[in-house]
Amino acid sequence: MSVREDLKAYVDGELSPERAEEVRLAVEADTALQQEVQFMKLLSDNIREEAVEPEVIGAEKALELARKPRRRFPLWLGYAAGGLAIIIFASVISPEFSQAKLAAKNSDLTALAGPERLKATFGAPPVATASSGASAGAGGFGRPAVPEHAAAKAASGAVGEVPEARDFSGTDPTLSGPQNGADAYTMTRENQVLGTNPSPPAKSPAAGKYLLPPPSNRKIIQNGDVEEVVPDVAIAQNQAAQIAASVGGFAENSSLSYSTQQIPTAAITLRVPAQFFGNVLQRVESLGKVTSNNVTGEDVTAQVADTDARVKELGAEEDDYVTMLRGARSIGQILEIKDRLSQVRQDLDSLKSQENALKDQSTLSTLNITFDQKPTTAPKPAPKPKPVEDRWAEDTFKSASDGLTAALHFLGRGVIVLFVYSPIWVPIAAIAWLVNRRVKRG
Amino acid sequence: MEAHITRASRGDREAFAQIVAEHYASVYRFCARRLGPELGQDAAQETFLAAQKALARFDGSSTLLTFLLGVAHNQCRNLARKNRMEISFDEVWPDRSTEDVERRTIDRHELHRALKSLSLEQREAVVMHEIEGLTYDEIGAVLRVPSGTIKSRLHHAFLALRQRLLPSEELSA
Repeated sequence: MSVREDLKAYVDGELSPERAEEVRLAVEADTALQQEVQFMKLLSDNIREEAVEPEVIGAEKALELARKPRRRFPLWLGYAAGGLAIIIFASVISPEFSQAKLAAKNSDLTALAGPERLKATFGAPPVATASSGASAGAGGFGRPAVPEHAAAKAASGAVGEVPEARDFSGTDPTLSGPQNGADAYTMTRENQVLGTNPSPPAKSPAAGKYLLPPPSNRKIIQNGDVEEVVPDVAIAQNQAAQIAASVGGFAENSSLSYSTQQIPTAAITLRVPAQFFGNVLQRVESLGKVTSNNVTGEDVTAQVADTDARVKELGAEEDDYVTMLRGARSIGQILEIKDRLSQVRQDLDSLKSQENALKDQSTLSTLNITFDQKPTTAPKPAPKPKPVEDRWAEDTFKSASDGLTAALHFLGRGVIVLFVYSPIWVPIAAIAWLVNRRVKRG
Repeated sequence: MEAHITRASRGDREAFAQIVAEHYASVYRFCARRLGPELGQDAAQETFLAAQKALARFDGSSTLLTFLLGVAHNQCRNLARKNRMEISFDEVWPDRSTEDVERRTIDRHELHRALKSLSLEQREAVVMHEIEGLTYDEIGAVLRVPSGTIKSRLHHAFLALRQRLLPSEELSA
């Protein structure tokens, strides 16, 4: 740095001692620099002399202001007002925000298919396996485990191709347990909306987990209605009958008909041992694509017990009448006792047949199956969902875009609300600003 | 004095009044040179109001006057912006009538013209150093620029003034 550049700082005494000494020596050795220093000093003096010193005014007022207690807006009132404003704003805004988020979530759920959607909606359901047949829901009521062969097949996936999207409604018998009297439960599984392409069935070891067999000590009537589309109805009909036979059941009814377009439809009613009902249902479902599935259960334990008690009661009554008949002396007595005995026996027969029917129905479950022929033009297969690990970018993008949409929605809503409420808050804000300004200026 | 500052920062109004009494003139002049007497008065009052709130942040790394002038500098800029005016320092060297002119080494009219020809930053530095008596460091603290910048501004300001007032001289920067 040249000496001349530091000359002003030298004159002002703003240089370090070392640099000041260097400049001093340079100035002493150079008359031109000496003249410059002189001129700078002169200039400084003239600048100061020429400057007008403002006359101080307003000192008293400033002192008065300094001594005056400041009219502070109470802090607690500020917090209260702020909190109230936030609550009002949030109450106006948050429902919309929640709705937006919910809509985003719903769109996510809609995008998910089959078991993933179920999982996302209800959480991970319990899985019935051979080792844990009496699972959480069943354990509480002392239910027996799934029969070994059924559980093994379910675990291996040999059976149990179930439709992907299912809505389970009603009461799960494994969770609610039977009540007194005839309690009913229904599990309806609708695969798809009619007329849409069904999703391909996914093999799942947990398939049929809701179809645990009824406990052996209870009398439950299980009925099922299944509609499914198969490549060949006749073959499917035979296979269904074989499935029933394999567990000791039988085909009660069977029919085959053709529509006007020569599309065949087969119907078959299977009666299978109650303990194999779930197993049979799974295997039947695996024959094609299920379009409708309705399973009902009715606990008739109490009803059977009641009928049994009445049978015993009537039996005892019958014995009494027989004894009385033996001891009867007059024709009138004999006729009257016989008449009563006849009535009792009639009631007894009726009750016994009713009891037998209940026992039969609870022993053998009924499964009504309707097979429809697959249309000649094969439906377009649904795109195979990517594995979760391959969809992270897609999921992240969707999540982020949903979040952005929700945030923009939220902000937009906020702006609109602020605008609509402006006749209220703008005058208040203006008054507050003016008051604040007045207070500041005293 | 430090006791006054501490007490004032804790809300002691009398201690703050003492600070006002001691520094009002400097602060007012600082403001009046930039905004004129009327707005300068408002700016000075706003300065002390703002300083009362900000006093708790005063750490003693500079003098209290420098701290107050820093606040005043901001208040002046705010008021100038609100009133749509430019800080020109015209009030510092007002034009004088010819009767007042007397022959001196430096011609006064020329000096006034030369000072007005300086850039705003240079004029500000000149006013703060030559008239308000602040050191380079203090000016830097008020304007929040390095003191080296102030040194440079003053050097170039005086160079420009010399060129203007002594045009016949060959000057090297």
